[in-house]
Amino acid sequence: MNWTKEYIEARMIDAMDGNLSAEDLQKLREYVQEFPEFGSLGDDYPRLNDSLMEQFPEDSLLKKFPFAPKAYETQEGEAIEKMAIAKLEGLLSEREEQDFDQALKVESSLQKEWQFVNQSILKPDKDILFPNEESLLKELRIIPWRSYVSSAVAACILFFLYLGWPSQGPTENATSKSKLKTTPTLLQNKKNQIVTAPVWTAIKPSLKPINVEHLNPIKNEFPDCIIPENYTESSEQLAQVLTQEKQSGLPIETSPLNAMNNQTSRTFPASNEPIGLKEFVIQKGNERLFGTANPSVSERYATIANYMAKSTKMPINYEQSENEDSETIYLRLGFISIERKRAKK
Amino acid sequence: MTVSDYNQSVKDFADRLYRFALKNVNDPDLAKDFVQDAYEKLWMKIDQVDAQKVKSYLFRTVVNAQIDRARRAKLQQNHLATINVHQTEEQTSFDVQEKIDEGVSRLTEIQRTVLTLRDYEGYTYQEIAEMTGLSEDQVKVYIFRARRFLKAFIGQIEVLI
Repeated sequence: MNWTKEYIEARMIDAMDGNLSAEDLQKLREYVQEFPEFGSLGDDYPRLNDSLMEQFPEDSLLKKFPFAPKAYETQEGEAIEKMAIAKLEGLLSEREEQDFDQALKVESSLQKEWQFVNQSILKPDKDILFPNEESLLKELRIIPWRSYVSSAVAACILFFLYLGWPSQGPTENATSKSKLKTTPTLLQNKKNQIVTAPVWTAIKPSLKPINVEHLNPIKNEFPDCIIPENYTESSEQLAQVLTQEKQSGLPIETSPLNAMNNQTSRTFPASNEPIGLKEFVIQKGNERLFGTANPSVSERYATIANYMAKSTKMPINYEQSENEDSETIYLRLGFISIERKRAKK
Repeated sequence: MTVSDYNQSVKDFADRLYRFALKNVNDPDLAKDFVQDAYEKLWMKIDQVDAQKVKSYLFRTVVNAQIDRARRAKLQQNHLATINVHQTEEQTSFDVQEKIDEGVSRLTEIQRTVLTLRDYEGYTYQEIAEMTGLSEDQVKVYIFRARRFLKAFIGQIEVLI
């Protein structure tokens, strides 16, 4: 047997635990007596045990502790650890809570355990802030899907208007078809360059022009946009078209249109009503797709454009400015805008 | 929810989301990306998300982003974690808070996530379960194991000090 220091200490622990045979214990006693620097194998251990007992005057606590909480009964780990964590997580029953509190008063190991478990709570550092929070903020208006559709339709309408806006003076006579085809439209874009805008017929020569005329800007504080209708066809042809429209159930008015008259402007009384497109016609050749030539009061704001303005809550804005040489008209529906410059006569 | 609800959610939760993400990924740029992505997704679904549940939606989005990232980079992350362990073991600083942070960084991804949701935001087990797709029992176990690990880790530090 090699009586090293480690071996002797291990045997002494075995002796205190009662794990040595009588023979080995005797050998160990003889050895430590010979070498007293290793200590003695007296009766210290039982006395130490007695002194520990004095710290726990309540037998009931000794019997109960350690105990494991039901919440973690299937988890591995020491009971004292489970109790502390369950207490922190609020998973103890009322009875377990009482037992824990009692044990915490007298059991230093539980106090230590409780201290460590409490330190496991993560505390956010309030000084840490998201950098550039402003970049996350939004200012755009949310436009529901139906408004996108409405806006798209409105854009088409305004595009039609834009193409048909007269470039020079009053509306040309509709009968001079070739003239209409070749008359360029002056438009001032944002770069202040005068460009020639395509006329209706330049895109689809078979279509009839839709002309928009601005009436009485001086008399009418809130000028209206009107669209007079011009037909070159005979009244019989027109009547036929209207009959077809009526039969097809298209949502258009079928009142007489004064198709063949040469009226290029009509007198409208001054009005304080909001600006809007009050008369509006879309036609494909002789086929009238939409329009109200002589609207009733209730129909005046029932045109597509006004419906769009109402449904999208985007008013049609109409502004006008002029200088010595030209007149600029600005029409806007939401984010769609048309700016047109017209030379003065 | 409206735009003002959205903007209010930015003011209310952006910092908290960032702290949460930063604690979990330990990378300011990545944490910032997570928060920005969460708000971008919220903006895209602004008309579908209930204003009352916006906080839950944002945290769930960040949690999912973290989980996705963890799955994608699992091998790489394990390698880095091993390196970190060796490096930190050589350090001689005994700053308790730093050590606790180190302990948190050694938790598994899911343990860290559920623990930060629990401690930072005070979510219940049920709420955490809904956000992470775990069961309540799983959340309970993950939190128990995380606390047990941290407790042991802190205990080691005390001994060292």
